[in-house]
Amino acid sequence: MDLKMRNYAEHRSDLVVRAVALIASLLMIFVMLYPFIYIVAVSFSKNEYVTMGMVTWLPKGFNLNAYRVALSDPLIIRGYINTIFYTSAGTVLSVGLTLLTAYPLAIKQFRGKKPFLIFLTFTMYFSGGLIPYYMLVQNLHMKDTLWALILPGVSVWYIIICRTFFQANIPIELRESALMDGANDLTILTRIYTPLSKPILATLSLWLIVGHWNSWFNAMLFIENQNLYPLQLVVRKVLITFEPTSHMRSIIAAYKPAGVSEQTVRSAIIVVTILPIVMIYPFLQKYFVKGIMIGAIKG
Amino acid sequence: MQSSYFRVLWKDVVKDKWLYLFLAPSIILVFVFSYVPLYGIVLAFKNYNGLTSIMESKWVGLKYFELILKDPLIPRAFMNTVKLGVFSLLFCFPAPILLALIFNELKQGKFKKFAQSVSYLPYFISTVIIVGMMKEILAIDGVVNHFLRSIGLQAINFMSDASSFRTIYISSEIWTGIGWGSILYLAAISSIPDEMYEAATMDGANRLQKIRHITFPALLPVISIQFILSVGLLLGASFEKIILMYSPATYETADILATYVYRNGLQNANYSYGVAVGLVNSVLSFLLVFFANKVMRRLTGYSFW
Repeated sequence: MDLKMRNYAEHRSDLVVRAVALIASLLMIFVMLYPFIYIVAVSFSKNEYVTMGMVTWLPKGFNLNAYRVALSDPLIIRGYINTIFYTSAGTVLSVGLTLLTAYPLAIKQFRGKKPFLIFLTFTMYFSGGLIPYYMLVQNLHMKDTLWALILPGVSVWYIIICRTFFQANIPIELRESALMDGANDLTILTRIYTPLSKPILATLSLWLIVGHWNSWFNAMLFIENQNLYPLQLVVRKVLITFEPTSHMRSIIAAYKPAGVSEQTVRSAIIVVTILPIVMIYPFLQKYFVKGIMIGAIKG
Repeated sequence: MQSSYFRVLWKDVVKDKWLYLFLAPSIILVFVFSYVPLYGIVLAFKNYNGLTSIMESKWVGLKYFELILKDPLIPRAFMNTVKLGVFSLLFCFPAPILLALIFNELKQGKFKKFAQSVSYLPYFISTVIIVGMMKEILAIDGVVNHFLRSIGLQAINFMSDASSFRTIYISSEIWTGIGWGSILYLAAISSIPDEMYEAATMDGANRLQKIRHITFPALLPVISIQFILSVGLLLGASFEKIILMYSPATYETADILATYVYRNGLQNANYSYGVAVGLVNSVLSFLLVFFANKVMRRLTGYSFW
């Protein structure tokens, strides 16, 4: 390789660039991961070492008692179950609606395509704002119900992504020949379009699952009954407003000699809450990255 | 004319009945949840007390907009909104571009993949947990303060310190968004043909020159579009996060228009006033996007419209 020999000086500067990139990446990895490492370490540590500031990387005085407290908390368990329920119901509903809506909008010959598309996209730019929305949900008597959390789940953005996928990947002739064979649009959508759209459906579902799993604001506005709290709302009470649940209050004093404090329990709750997301993460990010690519090529 | 139009429409509905049927649920839901609240904007011009209906409430003209001008908390909220927005643009916006450039200089392989995967991770964590983690780490006996004390500095109660709020907010925004934001830029980089780099190598360009003259220009269209989008969000900041982060002790620097609407408008039930403040915020956002679009078109030639 002659090139290598000729530009020796420049080569050195290239090495510097590579080294800088490598160091910067290592630094980034540290900054991204350290907060998690610290929280995990605290959750497994004995309280006294934590308050003395001796826990930075590894647990000190390893014990599982903080998890015992967190996982026996009825509010946390309820929250977990509620969130699983809201997440599955919300995801199924939204994916179904997205498919149903994207299909007609992807058909070139459909006369209603344009007006309906304008009707939908308008809402991406203009909204009534927080207060009118709140009043609407209140007037519909959806406060303290599942509906307040899952029904407004039509995302115009997802519809457009799905439509773009249909247009780019499914030849319109498939529909035409199926129509000739006497199939109707319902069979075409369920038998032809849906099976061919697995990648985009997986992406949207994961998006929705993460969205529902992590959402809390609507629940804070509309859910007053503690038995209906999603996990994030329970967690918010404990982590943000520093209000221990009644279970935590009653049990922590008894567990104190075993190394438990509100701080270690809070850390355990953080770990327990993000665990499902971290567990499906490898799968998740692959599809997410693919999805953002499809979304980027907006049609 | 009229009747023939409806006849055509009816024929079309009969022909494509399934398609219309498929659209019906979303159209109804979007109408109810997005269009009906638009009507609520009239509350800004009415005296609504929460007891009578919107229809029955009396028109009061611009009364609430005059109140906004007299409200001593509005200038503070407005300035905080602008400052947080401008700092976000200055720091949060370029961060993913920088990261994408850094990733691009790494050798293809396991380490690069790992670094990328790690960089997106915080994006998947809920705001509640992120703020919760911040509270633990920055607490008075958290790891950061233990470190400060160990090197002989004074411990700081970060979460209730108004002067640290912006730094904490912006850094945590970068932390959550940087990896995710870099995906788009990496995609744009990957579409640059290899021949361009090879040709540059032949001409004796070093890596920095390649970054400057090939990679960066290729990113410019994406950067412009992303910039205009970010300007659109400038006045919105991520107010859910601020609501979780702030406390009366930090209102001085943390209270933005959106959080003010939530607190004063919704929690204290000053509905009409809250809607008026929200409306002002939206109009300002819209103008900003419009303006940013113009500026970007002048500067780079790329724009939305």
